[in-house]
Amino acid sequence: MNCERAVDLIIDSLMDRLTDDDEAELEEHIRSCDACTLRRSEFTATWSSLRELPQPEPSSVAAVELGRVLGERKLLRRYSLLAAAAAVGFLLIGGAGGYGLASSRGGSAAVTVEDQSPSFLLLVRGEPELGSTSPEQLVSEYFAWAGQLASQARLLGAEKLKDDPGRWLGPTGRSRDEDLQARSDIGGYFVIRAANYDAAEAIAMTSPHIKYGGTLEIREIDPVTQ
Amino acid sequence: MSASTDEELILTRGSEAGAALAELFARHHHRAHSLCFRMTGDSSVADDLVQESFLRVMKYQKTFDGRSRFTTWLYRLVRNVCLDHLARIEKERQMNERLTLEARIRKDLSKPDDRIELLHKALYRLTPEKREVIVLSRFHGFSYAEIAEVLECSLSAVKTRAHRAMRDLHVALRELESEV
Repeated sequence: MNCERAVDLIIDSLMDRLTDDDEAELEEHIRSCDACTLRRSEFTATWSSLRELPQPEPSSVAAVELGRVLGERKLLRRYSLLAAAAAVGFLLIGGAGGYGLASSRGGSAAVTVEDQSPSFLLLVRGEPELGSTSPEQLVSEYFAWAGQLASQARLLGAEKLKDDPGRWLGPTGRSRDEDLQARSDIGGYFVIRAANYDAAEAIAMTSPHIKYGGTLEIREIDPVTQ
Repeated sequence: MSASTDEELILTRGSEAGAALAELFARHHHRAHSLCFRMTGDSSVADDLVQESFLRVMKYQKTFDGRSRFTTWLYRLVRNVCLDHLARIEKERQMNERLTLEARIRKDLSKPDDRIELLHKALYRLTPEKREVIVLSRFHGFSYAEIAEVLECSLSAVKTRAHRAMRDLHVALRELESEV
């Protein structure tokens, strides 16, 4: 075996698997070739270092942007489902950076079936208790749930709120009442369409947030017109 | 739906199709982003390319015939999106592209390790065709056979490309080290 062939096999051993014969042949060559011994250690070190390259997470803005792009292109209704579901799927996963999407930015085309139905605000309260469930599994469940709502043209919007106490205001300005602020357990909201409170409740009860021990407050939106 | 396989999801039609696509997005957009980032060196560009990729998933959903795994099909599609993007950049020939790219690479590097930074730069000195072989192998755990399936070429062609890619990577790394 010449050194050229040996380098090929060194690379193959890193990127795939060598046959027993190739491995034996390579080892025999390495034993008698200092240059290839050095080459192998260099290639191995480089291969190992590649793993250390930083890997950024997808931007939390990406889903919002996807919604915007979809909206601008006026794509088919089902396209908006992805955007809406992507947004809601990450709604409560703080580590994911908080995807959020208002339907007016990208999902408005999804609302075609029940435009005349009342709309309800679902305030997301409390933290879900994951237990042995992985965050990834929870994300999948949110995606599936949101996708289902969107496919029924019931999902109007969703946003995650930042994980800070926010600001409470009164006639004298900003409140310093910590007890008041401690009551702020709203993590986000959904806006859905449903025939009535019972229907909205039925939808809400199927959400992963309820399944995992969180609380949803439902309020019917009272449209104000001039 | 979360118990369904990728292949079952991509083949879903009718009212469930939206939820199925959303589930696929949830499962795979991280790895798609990883591939796009490795191919472009820019996380925000990777975000855009992931969007483009999943738009194409929806557009070409009906062309998935179940003969390959969904992930293979997806990688092929994402790879094409990346190559289209890189070709577009090349075509535009923006004079400051390289500087911009390297500035973005620096921005995306959070670990102030000189060798790692040089390795990162070396990776982007490779042609996209060589870089993708390394990326698919090292960052996505693909075997030569799986890479061949994604690239739709022969096993021997993948091997040849891998050998050249790794050699070129070493040459680029040495050049960069000598420039420091």
